Amino acid sequence: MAGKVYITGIGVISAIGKNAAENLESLKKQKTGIGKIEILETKYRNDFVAGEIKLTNTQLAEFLGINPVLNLPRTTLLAITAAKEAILNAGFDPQDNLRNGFVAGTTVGGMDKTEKYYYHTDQNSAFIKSHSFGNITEQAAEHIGITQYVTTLNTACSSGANAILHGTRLIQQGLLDRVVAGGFDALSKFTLNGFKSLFILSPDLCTPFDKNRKGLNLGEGAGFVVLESEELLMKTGKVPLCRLSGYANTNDAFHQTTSSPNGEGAYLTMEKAIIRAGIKVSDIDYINLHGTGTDNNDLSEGMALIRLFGNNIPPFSSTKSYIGHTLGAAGGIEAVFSVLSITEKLIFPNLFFREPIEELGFSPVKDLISDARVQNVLSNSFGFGGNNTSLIFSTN
Amino acid sequence: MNIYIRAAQTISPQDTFPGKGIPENIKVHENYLKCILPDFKKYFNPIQLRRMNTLIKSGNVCAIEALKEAGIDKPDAIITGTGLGCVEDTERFLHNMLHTNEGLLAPTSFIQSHNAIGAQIALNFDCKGYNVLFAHKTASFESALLDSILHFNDSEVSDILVGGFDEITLENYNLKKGIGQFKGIPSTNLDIHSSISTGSIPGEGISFCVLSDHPFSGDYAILESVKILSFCSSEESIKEWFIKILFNHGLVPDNIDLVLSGLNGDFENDKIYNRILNCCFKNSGHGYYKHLCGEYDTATSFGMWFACNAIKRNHIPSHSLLNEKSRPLNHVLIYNQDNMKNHCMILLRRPS
Repeated sequence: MAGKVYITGIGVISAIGKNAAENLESLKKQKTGIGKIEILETKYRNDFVAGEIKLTNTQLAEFLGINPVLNLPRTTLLAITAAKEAILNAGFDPQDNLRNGFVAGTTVGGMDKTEKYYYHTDQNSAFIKSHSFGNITEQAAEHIGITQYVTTLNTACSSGANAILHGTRLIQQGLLDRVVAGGFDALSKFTLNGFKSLFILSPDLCTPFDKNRKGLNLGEGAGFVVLESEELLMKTGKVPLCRLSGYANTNDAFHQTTSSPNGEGAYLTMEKAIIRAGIKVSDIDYINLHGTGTDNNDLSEGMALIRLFGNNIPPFSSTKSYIGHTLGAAGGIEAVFSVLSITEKLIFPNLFFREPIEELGFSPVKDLISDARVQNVLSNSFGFGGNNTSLIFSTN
Repeated sequence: MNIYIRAAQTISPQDTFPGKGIPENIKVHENYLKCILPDFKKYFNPIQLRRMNTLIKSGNVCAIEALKEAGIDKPDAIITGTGLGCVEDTERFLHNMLHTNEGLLAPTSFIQSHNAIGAQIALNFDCKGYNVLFAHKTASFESALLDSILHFNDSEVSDILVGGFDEITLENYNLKKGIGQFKGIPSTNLDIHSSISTGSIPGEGISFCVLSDHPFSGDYAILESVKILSFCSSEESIKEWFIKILFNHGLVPDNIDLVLSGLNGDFENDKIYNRILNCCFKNSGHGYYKHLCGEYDTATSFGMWFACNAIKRNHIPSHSLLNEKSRPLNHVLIYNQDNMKNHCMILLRRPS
């Protein structure tokens, strides 16, 4: 196989913090960011809770030094925030003479502006151009100064994870030296109403893997990692945070919005990722679940865990109980959390868990585990259309 | 490793489906180009038909014919590209939500958005392999093609289904006409070549091909290279970019027999093609294809279908030629850009 790919920087904004340090602090304090909707203009503010970032677009723009009058989509602002942090953390100049790329996953693009101005093009017609997924990535890339290779993926809720997978292969096969990869999504009325129409939104705080779970909470944010080639690290001598050691993408081919009851797709993708990483099933120290809190996902993902790990399931949790389901951003944000698990030697607990699902009979991590031996983290991202992706992060 | 284009199908605004070559006679469309749709009843029962929107049906039917042409039961991976996905369903859900002030909504049009097509094909063919969708404006299809090359190099796969699709609706047409992206004056697809006004002439289409890691007697072409340069506003740098890519394949610009450019009727945007083609590829044949399909984010997937057919028959209809330099088509280059962004290049070679 081609050369190794390392992670040298992380950046994240979510309901539990506007940078990696704040996110880590909330994870350690077991503080959820899910609560009352205050910024998204929806009539369901009192019916559903969400992992909303409590900063207005004006505040986000000012924080970034961008003129709020530009009225950029919220997704663009979130994407720039996390991507800039990741680049700063990795310590490189995007306009150096190396081959740098920017690869992102999203599911809403500029929808927040589209739904606001769709019947008011006289007030603002910028949404017509900013609506598309690729446009948001492009706006963010222009702002951070990456020009050579920029692209966008959409595989529903595994978009961010597939962006990291694509970025990893671009480096492995020598097409690029460095890739900022991850995902972004802002809350929008469109997605809130879409998930509501599917009857999978919980009115209360989500309880992933709990017997009495009621569904998911939507969230918003962005998460990026900086991927670098082994050759580049040998030249610069930079010490990476960890390694992206394994990945897989499979399709459940079962139903557009439902996972197979035996977790076929999830099982296949986890197994393939572990094989790709060249490790054994028993080498996985922590699983950051997809764990949305819906009846269907958690049971299906749980069945896949039993099939793959038997009676020796490693510690696992869903960090969606802190930030909600951030859709296209989830794979990116949860990649950042997986990196933090390795660098901080921490296993983050699942919040609000009470009773195991009867068919499964096992429980996620309920208390923070410090000084943990975390050498290999498995991160799952599953999406509508049966799009399943697993990534494995390993110590250097 | 060579990657062979084993099958290529397109549903387009011309009479091209299934398995027909480049039309000698052009169907004329006013203002924007809509597809000539196949008879879906031949492929699906009424229950299946009701469950899918037009773009999903077209995508599936196009994929079915491409796989049939390739003689493959099931691809090892499905990699697709779209600029905006299912626009009609996005509009429907948006209108329902806004009209009812977030009332009780049916989920169908929400679900059938972007990645539903690749997923539906996976369902139809029970394809559990790698499946992704790229959605990056006019680089969506090239991103998918590039990812298919990465996937061939990285996994034990022999056949990949790759496609590009986009649809135009009256509503979307009017919105973009309003901001000058599409022509504000009445026009037809025949105006693309000689346009002296800004704004492109939009269209739509669905194209699928089957890429294979082993040769087959009926192969259209070898996919030699796919490159994307996201931002570059210097024509000099673009020329250097071309020369470097060709050099890496042991070629010089004069080896290119035909350059298919992405002329779309936008006078300002099209100037760039003329300058680059006349300077960098002055001894090559020049052609175009968007007068057949219109401009859309994944129009280059039609462009690749066009190039495949041109190579196979060693012929390009005169309506698609921009100069008189006709040569045997051994190397064909497809170049597309969007106002100096998303420079995309696909290089095809005649199989030996």
